[in-house]
Amino acid sequence: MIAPPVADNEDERLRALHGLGLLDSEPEERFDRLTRLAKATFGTPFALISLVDADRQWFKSNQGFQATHTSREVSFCGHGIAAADVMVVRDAPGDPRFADNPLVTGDPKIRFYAGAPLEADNGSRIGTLCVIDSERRDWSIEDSRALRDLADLVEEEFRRVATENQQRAVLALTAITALSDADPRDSLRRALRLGCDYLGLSQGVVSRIEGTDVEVLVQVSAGDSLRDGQHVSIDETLCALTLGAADVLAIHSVARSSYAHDPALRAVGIEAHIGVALEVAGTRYGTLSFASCDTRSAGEFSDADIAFVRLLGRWVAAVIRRIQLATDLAVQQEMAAIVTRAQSSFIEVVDRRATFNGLLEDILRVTGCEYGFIGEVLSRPTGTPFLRTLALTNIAWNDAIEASFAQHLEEGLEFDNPETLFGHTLTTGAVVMSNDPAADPRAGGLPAGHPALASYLGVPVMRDGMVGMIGLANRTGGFTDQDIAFLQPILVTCGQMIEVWQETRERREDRRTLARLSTVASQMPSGVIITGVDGHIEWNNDAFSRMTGFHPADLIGTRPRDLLHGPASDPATINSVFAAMSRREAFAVELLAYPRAGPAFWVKLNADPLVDENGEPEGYMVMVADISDRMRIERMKREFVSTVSHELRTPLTSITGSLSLVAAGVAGDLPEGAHRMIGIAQKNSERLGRLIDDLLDMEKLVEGKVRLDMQVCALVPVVERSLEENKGYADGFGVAYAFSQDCGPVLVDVDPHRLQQVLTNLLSNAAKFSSHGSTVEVQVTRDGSRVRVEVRDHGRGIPYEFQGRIFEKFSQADSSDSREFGGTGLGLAISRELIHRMGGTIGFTSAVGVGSAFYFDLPVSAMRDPASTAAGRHTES
Amino acid sequence: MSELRRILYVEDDPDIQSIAEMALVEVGGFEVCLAGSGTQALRLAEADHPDLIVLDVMLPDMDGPATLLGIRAIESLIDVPVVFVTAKVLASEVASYMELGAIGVIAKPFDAMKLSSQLLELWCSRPTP
Repeated sequence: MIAPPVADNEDERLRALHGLGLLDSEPEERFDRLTRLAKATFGTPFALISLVDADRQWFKSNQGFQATHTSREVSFCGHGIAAADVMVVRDAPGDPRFADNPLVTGDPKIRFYAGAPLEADNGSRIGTLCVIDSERRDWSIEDSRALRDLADLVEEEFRRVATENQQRAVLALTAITALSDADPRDSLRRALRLGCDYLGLSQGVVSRIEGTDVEVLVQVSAGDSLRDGQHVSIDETLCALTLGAADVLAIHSVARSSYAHDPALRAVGIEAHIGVALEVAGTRYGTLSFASCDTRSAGEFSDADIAFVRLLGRWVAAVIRRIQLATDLAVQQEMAAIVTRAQSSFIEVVDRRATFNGLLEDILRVTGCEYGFIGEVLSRPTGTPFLRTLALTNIAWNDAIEASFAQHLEEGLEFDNPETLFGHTLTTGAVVMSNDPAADPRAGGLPAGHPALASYLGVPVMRDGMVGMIGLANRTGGFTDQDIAFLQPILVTCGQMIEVWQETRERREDRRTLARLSTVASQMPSGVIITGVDGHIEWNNDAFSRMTGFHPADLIGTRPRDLLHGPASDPATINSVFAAMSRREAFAVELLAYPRAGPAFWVKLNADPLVDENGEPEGYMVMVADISDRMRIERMKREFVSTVSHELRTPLTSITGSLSLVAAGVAGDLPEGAHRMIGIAQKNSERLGRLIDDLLDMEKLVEGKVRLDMQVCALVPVVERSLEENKGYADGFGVAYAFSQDCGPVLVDVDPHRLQQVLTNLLSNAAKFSSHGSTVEVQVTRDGSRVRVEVRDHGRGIPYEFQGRIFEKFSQADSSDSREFGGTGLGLAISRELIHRMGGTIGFTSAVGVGSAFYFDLPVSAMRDPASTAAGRHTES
Repeated sequence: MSELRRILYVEDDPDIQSIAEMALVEVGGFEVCLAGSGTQALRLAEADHPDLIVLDVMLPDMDGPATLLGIRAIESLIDVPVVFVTAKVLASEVASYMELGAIGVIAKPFDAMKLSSQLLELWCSRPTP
């Protein structure tokens, strides 16, 4: 057997064959009448119109033949379409091409065959009109001509079929494009119905496809097996295949197609399908498809059918674009309405939270989401961002959450878990869109009972930075980038609202704080006044009115100095207040104040400058404490100390005097033992005397009763004199003084007698605390306008924990020091007081085990050395 | 310059009187006359005419400065040097005593053993009238 040859133009031939759309179609009378005529004319038992496709011959019209088709391999017609003209096989068993052909060897035991090739419009041979006999028979040239004539008639029918196909398609398209319903969806639906009719299929669908989601936009289906708005997975459709096809995808029979063995495709359950991808506004939108679960009776899709679907696809895309534009417009209008509503409600409504709730509801409605939230983004003191809801859909799934929701709704619920979809926006400020939250690595999972989360969109609300965010959940069909774009105008409004909300809250909190503070201030026992920059009282509390006896009405607008200062108010203190005020500095002073009636009383003023939000001075807040009691007690204490000291002094004079006379043997010789005891008593009485002197000295200094005899004098001679006077004392400890100076004759304005007192204190301390045989270095150095006197010992140093109190009264590092070294504990306190009075500063450095260096700095006097530096002539013990 | 021999010591506290007396007599070798008040001091001074008068500032009837003025009011005592003994040794106070005509001020409590030499020193360095 020799297989039929394949023509050079096989592809073109097949395209022409399929384009006719005749394969696998029902029998038609127009072809059957011609085969009947052939059968009758030639008296053969079989007459066929055979169409030869890639692998078979299929009989469009069949008279007497058992099969509907055979394989191309065994076909006589396969050879027939390759012949120059009518092919006649007079003796099939004797023909090497057919001798072992099963149609020859078996039924119908073909012996005779005559076939006229049938040409399509483009000249390709797509089949034959043939007559077949099981008997050998005669066949004349006239017979061949007659067969050719009949074949021409068949070809004529082919052309008519093509023309009719085109006409039907055009008619159908015309009918469709004429559709103009008010709702374009209705037009789409009617177009699908017309398409189904035209194509002979049971369902038509316009689908919108996002990822794997297929949304049935509009459909017509038998028994409404589909419905509009339905979502199905792309795997349940042929949409993926359609989208992947370059042009219209036409499968008139899955079973007969190359997909016959694709189980996934078979599982879809569609047998016949024709569809095309829809491109709307330049982007892939979805598909237009017609399908049927049964084999299509009209057989293969013709060129006209394919053209029809292609053109219908374009029309559908245009309609969808119109719907989109209308929707966009509607959405934009809706958005504008939402924004306007939110803004006006926000401006008018007192309960702004309600506005956020309204806004959220609007957003959910327009985006088609199930639930969501609007929240402000705030920061913990640690800097961690968190979310506080302004509006939140109640999705409580149990009573506890319902209760918590109700309780916290007013002030907003707070969320700060960064390991969530919303947390991702919170920490990064990024838009988070997730149409599969369960598989999203950014998601943190849902608490048990939480409503299912099918899709999520979190958008930051930006002003200067991120001020808030909107979270939306469960949009039907999931979220797209378009949703983010749609939200833009709302985001702007929302940002403004959040900003205003936060500002008002801050103001509200400020007001609340202020109200609380003023309550506290008015109930405070201390007086409080607030003044303007010019010092006039703007506000005062009750205590201040009570304290001063002035009615608030008399106080407001006046300056405290005009009402409350009196003859005994210290002018120096008052001046220091004025000076501080002119520099807008804080000040704290104690002053004698005069109330409206009654005796003057002491007040302590603590004044802090107030500044407005721009840092400009606004005035002062002054705390006025009545310290009369404290002052009285302090005065009593001082008087007591002073009196006691004076009273102690007289008997002490007797004791000291007697002892020194007895000790000196003036009152007669003493036994050795008594002499030693008298010595002890004498030493201690002298120490008691020094202590009393220091106490009185200190009290006088504090009281301000010490009038320093300030005079400009050379510093170095005073130091030298002190060294000389203390030399003997130092000798007692085996300590030497070493003096050096680098400043030459430097003048200072001091009380030289008191300065010597300070020097004596420092020098004797240094000697006392030096190790035996060491040297105390005394240095005078000048640094510009100041001169320093430093006394450095190499003693044991001052313990660190004691260094802070070294200048306090009765401070000694070790209580045994006073016994061991005979100090009173007042020396350094007096020294500091004296140096301060002389305009200097005193200080020290010390290292335990190394030694200490005490120093004081004095301003260098600009005056020339006066003629005399002599103090009054007097002597002291 | 005459020698310092007779001293009138004016002090109201009898114990201090005793100490001063012992200090001046036994240590300094002076003749000492004691007075317990300013009035008594004026009477004794007029009667005995001492070389030097030592005045406590704080005295019961009339204080030291008043006593000094009283002494100066007596013709025969107009040039007798006076020394104050006082616990009040502020520079300003010292200055005021000096202005009254005292030749010196000795701080209280005084050193009994040095009292005589201090007085002698003041006596020697006193401005000669």
